[in-house]
This record gives sequence, structure tokens and C-alpha cells, in this order.
Amino acid sequence: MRLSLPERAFSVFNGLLLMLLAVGTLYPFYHVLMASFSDSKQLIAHSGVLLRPLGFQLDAYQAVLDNPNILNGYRNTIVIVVTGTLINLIMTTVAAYALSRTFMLKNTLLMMIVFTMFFSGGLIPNFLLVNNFLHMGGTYWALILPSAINSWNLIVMITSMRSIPESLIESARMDGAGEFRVLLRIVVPLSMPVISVMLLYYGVAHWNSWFQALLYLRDRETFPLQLILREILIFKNTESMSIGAGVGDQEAIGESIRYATIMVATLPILLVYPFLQKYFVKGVMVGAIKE
Amino acid sequence: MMIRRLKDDLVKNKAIYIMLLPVVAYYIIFKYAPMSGAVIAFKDFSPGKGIWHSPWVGLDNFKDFFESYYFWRIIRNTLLISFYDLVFGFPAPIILALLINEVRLATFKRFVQTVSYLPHFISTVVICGFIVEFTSTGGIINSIISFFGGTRSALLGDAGNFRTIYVSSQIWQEIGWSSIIYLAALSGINPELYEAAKIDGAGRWKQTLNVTLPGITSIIVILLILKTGSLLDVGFEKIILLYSPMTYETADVISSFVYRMGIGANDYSFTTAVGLFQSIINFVLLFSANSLSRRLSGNKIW
Amino acid sequence: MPSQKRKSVLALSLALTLSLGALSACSGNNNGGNANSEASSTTNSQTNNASKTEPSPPADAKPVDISMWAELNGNAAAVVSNLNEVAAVKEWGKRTNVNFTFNHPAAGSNDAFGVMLASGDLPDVIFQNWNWIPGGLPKMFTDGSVIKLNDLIDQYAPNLKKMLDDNPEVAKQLKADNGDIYAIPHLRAGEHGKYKTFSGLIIRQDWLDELHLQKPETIAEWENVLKTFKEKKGVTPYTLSKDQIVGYNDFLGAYGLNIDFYVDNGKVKYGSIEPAFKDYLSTFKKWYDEGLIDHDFATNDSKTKDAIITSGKAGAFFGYIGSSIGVYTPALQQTEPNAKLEAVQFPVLNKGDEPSFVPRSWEWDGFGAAISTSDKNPVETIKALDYLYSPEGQLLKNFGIEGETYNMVNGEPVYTDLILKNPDGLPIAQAMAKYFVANYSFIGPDDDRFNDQFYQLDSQKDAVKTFSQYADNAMKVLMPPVSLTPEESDEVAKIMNDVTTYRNEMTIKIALGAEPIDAFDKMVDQLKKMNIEKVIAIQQAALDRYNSR
Repeated sequence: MRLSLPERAFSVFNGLLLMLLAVGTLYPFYHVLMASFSDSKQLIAHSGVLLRPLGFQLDAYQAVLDNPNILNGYRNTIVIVVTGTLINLIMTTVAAYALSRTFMLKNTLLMMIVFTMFFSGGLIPNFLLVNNFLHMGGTYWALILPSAINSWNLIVMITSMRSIPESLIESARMDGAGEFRVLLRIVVPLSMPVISVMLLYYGVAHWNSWFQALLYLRDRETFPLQLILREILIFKNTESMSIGAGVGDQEAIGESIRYATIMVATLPILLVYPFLQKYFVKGVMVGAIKE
Repeated sequence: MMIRRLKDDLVKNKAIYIMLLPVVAYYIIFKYAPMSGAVIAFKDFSPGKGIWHSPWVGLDNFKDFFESYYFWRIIRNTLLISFYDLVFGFPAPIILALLINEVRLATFKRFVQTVSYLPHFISTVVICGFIVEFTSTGGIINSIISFFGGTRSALLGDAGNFRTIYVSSQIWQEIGWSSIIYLAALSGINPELYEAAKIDGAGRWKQTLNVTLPGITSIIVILLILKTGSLLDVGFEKIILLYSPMTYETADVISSFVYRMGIGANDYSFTTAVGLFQSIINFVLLFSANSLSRRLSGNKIW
Repeated sequence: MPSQKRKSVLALSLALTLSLGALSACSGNNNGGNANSEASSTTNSQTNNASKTEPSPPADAKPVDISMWAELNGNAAAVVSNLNEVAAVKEWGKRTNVNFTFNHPAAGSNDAFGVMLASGDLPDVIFQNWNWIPGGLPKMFTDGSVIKLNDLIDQYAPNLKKMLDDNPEVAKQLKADNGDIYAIPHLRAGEHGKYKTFSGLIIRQDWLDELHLQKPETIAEWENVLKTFKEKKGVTPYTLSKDQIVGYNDFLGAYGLNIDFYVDNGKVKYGSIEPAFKDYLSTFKKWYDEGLIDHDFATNDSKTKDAIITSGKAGAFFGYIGSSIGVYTPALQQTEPNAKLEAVQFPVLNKGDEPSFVPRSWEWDGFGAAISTSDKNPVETIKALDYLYSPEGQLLKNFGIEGETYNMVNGEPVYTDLILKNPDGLPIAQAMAKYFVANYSFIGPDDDRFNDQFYQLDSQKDAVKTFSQYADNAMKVLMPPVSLTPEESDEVAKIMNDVTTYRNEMTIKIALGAEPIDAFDKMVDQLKKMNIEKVIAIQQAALDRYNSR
């Protein structure tokens, strides 16, 4: 197909703009990568843009992998992410489908769900519920079940499911399909783009979360990666916060170790997105259904 | 009458109600059951005594907050930062998604998508380190300013710059990540609509206006409504990493103020009271936005 | 499309490995930890049965189980995942016939502590910095969470009792206003606990030598030195970061006050409203205007400050013996082999005066172990904790096991190469944390002989002496660790949040010239309107109670 001149001009402009954006957004990641290969002593003395490592070394990665908690943390995080996200997806998809249908209590339920986005019991009552009444303290259920549905995600998914043409669902029903069948055969395949977004949102949320783990887990062997990472990142901060307590005498942890930890803790989750991207290709799914 | 109708509905939509059973159970157990604990906003809660044995103090915790010398300043700063973030930060990922959507070259498209979402994963501490570095007197932004004949200055030390720096860095970090949902919505648009538009002789601009945008309007509106419901929330972490007493005037927000009050001391009652105040305002805002949108555009959460 | 196919295969196998990993890990978890991890099984109740079947240690009685809440220090966390793995801690349990189980909350949050308390699920021993808990230990006691220890100490803790009897000043810090004791403290006291100063002003000694300057003693001499640095070296003479409030740990002490509460002849004062603070501010402002103080300090974060110092662009700053001199010096010497950072005595106004405002830590810094009301064996617990106060216990805690991590040389413990030149290449701080508990706060006394060996550079060893020289003067002027009643601390927190916000804002504006120096008087008026005098009165009352302990 031939493009008109202004359209071609736009394409070039658009390409340049996005390229610029890509460079701008790639930088922080690149900086962290380079810093993780750098020599700590040179790194402390450096300020400004970092285009190549200062005195190449891999000791930081060695130190990170030698940390007794990191490999464990990896395993724990993966368990939490996989189980948690699976539960999230099932719960949210079922809830979103049901709430995108028409029935009498729908608006009441939606209101009640939105209400919980704003009002909650807060830290202590939630802890008492999960720890003292449900006895989940010390287990991963305490991190997974209380966040089984994120209401914000649920609403986004409902919105997306509402846009599925009613005619498709009606025709399936004509063929004698029940609600569960409609959900599995029609709605889920059509919703793959939004489901993959949810997979990403939930997966990343589990990957990054540390606060619930901090509350419920006491055995360091069970700590997820982010809790360990956070301790390493804030180590210096806590030190300087307690000025006057005379605690300033801890050896500052190697600057490059901090960056290596970030890399180690971030890379795996970054790799998920490219796998999901194929669900974002325009129109693929609608076409597939029609065949 | 109502009961009767409900009964009929339960029978008619039996499958739907069965599907909703675990969902409702979840919300009752994990959300509504602990909600009574919010009473600590009206108590002088001490963990050792427990929720029910801590003494009542009425509205004292709210009064402490409202009577603070800085109450109006932190409300104003919170609202302004949120507002700018809404005005500039909300459309940015939509525009990005539309631009990415126009790219024909599949590999380039994937590259831009993947790269632009990277900063979301870099922790706030590190990102703020970059911001401090780039805005310092010798930093890259000052180099650009001086190249165009301006004078170098510590940009972060000037209260007038704080919101700009905060909001633009926020966009920089989140634009790619936030655009994902729009890209997903774009992929759901029926390609036949584009074919039809082309047959009508619509160019790319017209197609965007008449097919693409309407295709994602509902998600845009819903996200906008949700965003309105968080106007009083500005997280403290980034603020406290960037502000200094020099910029309190424009930078100090509710959460950073509460954070300073709470360093080392967990005053759960006070924090709960402030949180409750924020929630009420936010809920009212969301409620109004939802009603307004229902009337104007037909898009609604409920 | 082959590439597409390959990708989906990859995705599928990734998903499979993930879920398989999930399954195996899940089952491992249900069994309560992995077979190969000693540490995780000790926190599991099942092992209690297991340990009973094993032959009991040489002691006659069965070991007592004691659970303890304690944050795991960062240096320790880098090498072990439970204090139980530390050799000295194992030995401590063996010698005192106790089975310690540690609860390690993640570092850096009080929330874990708050919910633990609220759940009523208390471990036997809670180790915390009690200064960080609103209301502190007295409130914990009245709330029924911890027990009073006075009688137990008298009967079962001879070593701690001796320490308190020998050092009435320490006993005073440890006791509540009513004389109760609630904690077995972490102390810097006794024969080997003299060091209480770890920070101060640090200067580029190599530049002083090069420019034939003496270490500055007075404010005037400082001004001269900083000026010379600027002219001759073309650097930022004095640097600081935005976290360091103007007047906090810099030159204010020379003017005979500090920025917050201090004691002047038995009377509590708030430094920021004293006239001398105005004098200090005008000097600071003058120095700032003349370029003697880092022009960007209001935006410097700690990383920027590190970079300025370690790249040789700063002449002097406030810092720590360990994490500043110890870390910056080797970094600096990468590019300037002759660079030398040394401690400077705290400044005074007139030559020959002795500095008083020295950042000296109290003998008791607030860290201590409280025994909770759930503890079934308080007597055994206090005996075990007291052991760390015995001479052998102090050695065990700070030096580990003789022959392994230290040897006695001329009657003094000296670390072995396992610590000082670790064969696995661990930094000293981590090597120490792997074998004993010396380089962070824990129950029992610190030991100066640890510091003497931990500080590797001569300039660090000298810094200890310099900073501690006038440390005892600080006893007369620093606000002691008074305790406020819950009502008082509520009131104080409420007023002080506004006060410090306003004060920090105004002082930096005056220092940077955004407000004229006369705005100081306006600030004093405003602070008074914000009820600062009420807080002074509360602090005075608390001080009086403290003094009559």
C-alpha cells in the first residue's frame, strides 16, 4: 500500500520520537547494569552519566550469589508468584465475567467492591485476622489469599469484558452453552489481551511485594527475594537514620553489590513481558474466533 | 416484592451467583470482616492493649491533623501534585500507545514497548538518585540550560521546580508500563472496522479518530474515574527522597508529613485517622466522577 | 513461522519449570523447611521432639527453650540466615544450657514489631531499641507485655548487678522514673567500654600538611583553613548533604548549644530559639556566601556527598570513623595515593576552651532485651542473658571462641586471621558477624578491644582518641535519655512535628539567603506561638524526674 506524503512524514517523525523515548527509558536500566560491573571504590567517587563500567569486575555478582538468602529468596519468590498469580487470574476472571453480565444484585455488589478500595481495617485488624484467626502466619497463604483479587484490576477486566459483542455470547447460548462454557469457550479466548495484562500486573505485584512478607514471615529461609533486596538497599539508609546512636561504624556495603542485587532481582520478571507481547497483536483473537 | 424478584433472579442467573460465591466470600472475609478495626481512628490505640481495650478519644486524632499549622499547605500540595500528574501523566501513556500502534515494523514496535516499560522496575531509591544527579548544578539538564544561554542552578533546591521535576520524572518512569493496558485494548478492536473505514476513504488520522479512539474510550474513561478516586494519594517514598526543607513549601504532602511525624513512632491511631480522611474525600471524588461519566458518556463502574 | 513456534515452546517450558519448582518447593514448605537447612528446622516446633530424642548436652538438666525476637544485622544477614548459625551464639546456648530460637523480623521496620505486639503472640525475649517505641518500656510494662526485672536481677544476674552497682550513672539510665528495670541492656560501660564517640569533623590532613596549616581548633581558624582550601586547592571546602540539618553536627557546638534540646546548668533549653543560634547562623551564612560551604548541599543526597568527598573535591565534612574514614580513604587513594583523612577536635570559639557538645552516645543506647509476660522460664532466661555480662561471656560475645577466632596475647584478646584476613575473602565486618556478635548492638557490653582491631587505619585509631578526648564534657550538656509519659509523648510529638518542620525550613532559608538574617527573630516568635515552651516545660519535668532517680 502506498502512503501519502504527510503520512510518510508522520511515520518518520513517529519513529524518531519513539527511538528517543526508547533511549531515554533504557538509560536507568543500562546505568544499573554498568554500575553492577564497576569497581565499588571508583563507583563511589563517580557522579554523572555512566556509559561503561568503571574497572570491570564480576565480584559483585559473586558476592550476591554467595549471600545465603538470595538463592533461597529466588525459589520462594517463584513459588509465591506462580501460585499467587494463578489464584489471582482464576478469581479475577470468574469475578469479572460474572460482574459483566446483567443480574439484579450487580450494582450493589460493584458498589461494595469499590467501597473496599477506599475503606479498610488497616494493618492491625488484617494481621489479627490472618495470623490469629486464620492461622496463616508463617505460611505463604498469608501473602497470597488476602490479595486474591485486586479490585482495581477487577474493574479494568470487567470494563474490557463489557466490550465483547453481546451477539457472540447470545449465539453460543443458542447452541445450548451454559455460563461456564461461555466463559471458557468465548470470553476467555477473546479476553486474552486483557488476561495477559492481568498476568503481568499480578505477577509483577507478587514479584515486587515485600510488606506482607515482612509482617507474616519470621524464618529468613522463607523470605522472598524482594525482602532481602530491600534490606540490602536500605542498609545504608537505616545506618544514617540512627545517627547519634553511634552505629555509624558498620562497614558500608560495596556500592556495586547494591546494583548487582537489583539486576539479579529484576531480570527474570523483565523476561515475562516479551512472551506476553504476542497477545497484543491487533485483531488476532477476534479473527481466530470467527473461523 | 423485592424478595420475590430476587428469588426469581437467583433462579434465573443461578450459574452467575454460583460463580460469585467465592468472590463474595473473599470480600466478606478479607475486606469487610477486618473493617471494624478502623475504630482505632477514634481511639488511642496501643498494640499491647489491643483494639478493644485501648481507650476512646473521640475526634482527637482528626483534630490533631486538622489543627496542624501546615494542614492547608499539605492538602494544597497533595492536590496540586495529583492534579498535574492527572493532566500530564494520564494522557501520556495513551498517546504513547497510539504512537506505538502506528508503527508498522513489528520488531521496532516490540523493541519500543519492551524498553519503555523497563524504568518501572527500577526501585524508587535508584530512580531518585538519577533525578538528583541529572538536576544537580553540574548535571545534564543544567548543561542543556546553559547551552541555550541560561545559568546553572541547583534545580531541586528551588521550590518552584519541584512539581515539574516530580511529575515529569513520574511520567518518564511509568509511561511505558501504563501504556500496556491501552495496547491490550487496542488489540481488541475489530479489524473489520478499519477495513470499512479505509473503504470510506479515511486516512490514518481519520482512522485513529473514528475507529481507534472510540475503541478504547471505555477503558480510558474507567481508568480516569479510578484515577480521580486517588487524588489525595501521593506516596511518601519518592517525595522524601527528593524534597528538602528548602522545597517543603511546594513538596510537603500528606504522606510525607505523616511520615515525618511517625519516624520511629508507630502512631497507628493517627495514621488511621488521616487515612480515613483521605479515603472519604477520595471516595466522594470517585463517586461524583462515576455519576458524571454515567450521565455524559454512559461509561460507568457501577 | 519457526521462530514463533520456538518461542512458544520456550514459554511453555519456562512455565513448566516454574510450576514444577513451585510444587517441589511447596511440598518442602509443608514439611516445615528443607532437610539440608539446619536453621529453618530449628524454628519449627517439630524439632523440639527431635531434639529430645538426642542425647542431652553434658549439663545435668534438659536445656530450656527460649525464643527471642531480634533483628538480624545487615553484616550478619550477608553471611548467615539465623543467629543460631553463629558459633559464639551456639556456644552461649551450650554454656548456659539454653536452646535459643530466634525470630528475625526483616530489618528496618517497626510495623513487624507493632503487629507482633498486637497479636499477643509474644516470644520469650524481645530485643529492640526501646527508644524507638512510643512510650518505651514503661508503657510496655503497664500494657502487660513485659515483666519487671529488679528482683530477678538482684537474685540471678550477679554480673549485670555488679555492673550497675559499680556504675550508678548506668543504673540511672537503665531505670524508669519509678526505679523499675525492664531490660537487660546493650551497654558501653565498664573496664572495656570507654569508647562512646564514633563521629565528628573529618579533614583532608594531606592538604593541611601541604599548605602548612595546623588542625583548626577555633571557628576563626576553621574559617582560615576553609578559605585556604578554596583558594589554593580550588575545591568545595566543607560539604554536607541535605539530610544533615544546618547546625546538626557541624560547627554549632562551638557556640555552646545544640539545635535541639540540651541542658544548661540543669535547665532544659531548645537551641533553635537561643540568641547564640543567630550568631551561628550568620557565620554559616557568611561562609556559604563566600563559597566555603558546598553550594549544592541543600540538594545533595548522601550518594552525591560520597562522590564529592571520594573524588577529592571536598576538604572537610562530618562523618564516622568506620563508615567515613574507613570507606572514603581507600576510595580516595585510588586516584590520590597520598590522600589522608583525619579526625579534627570539635571546634570552640576561643583558643584553649574545651568543647562540650560532643556527639557522645549514652552508656545505654536504648537497645536491650525485655522478658515478655509469656516467658515460662524467666529465671533461666535472666541467667542466660546475664552470662554475657560475665568476663567469659563478654569475651565470647565480642571475640568468639578462643583458638578459633581469637588468641590471648599478653592477656589481651587478639583476632586471628580467620577474622582479619578471612580465607574466603569476607570483609572484616562480615567475617566477624559470621562467628560472633561484636560489630552491632546485642545484649551485653561492647568491648573497646574490638574497636582497636576493627579500625584498620592509623587515622581511625587516632580518630577514636581525638573524638573521645572531651566526651565526658558532654555529660553536663546533653539531654539524658529521659522518659516521657504516654500523654506527654503524644503532646510532644504533635507540637514538635510542626516545630521541626518550621525550624528546618527557616534555618535553611536563612542560611541560603532566601530569608534575611533578621527573620531569625520572626522564627523565634513563631516557634513560641507553636508552643515550643510547653515542650521545654515537659522536657524539664522529665529531666527533673530523671535526676531524682
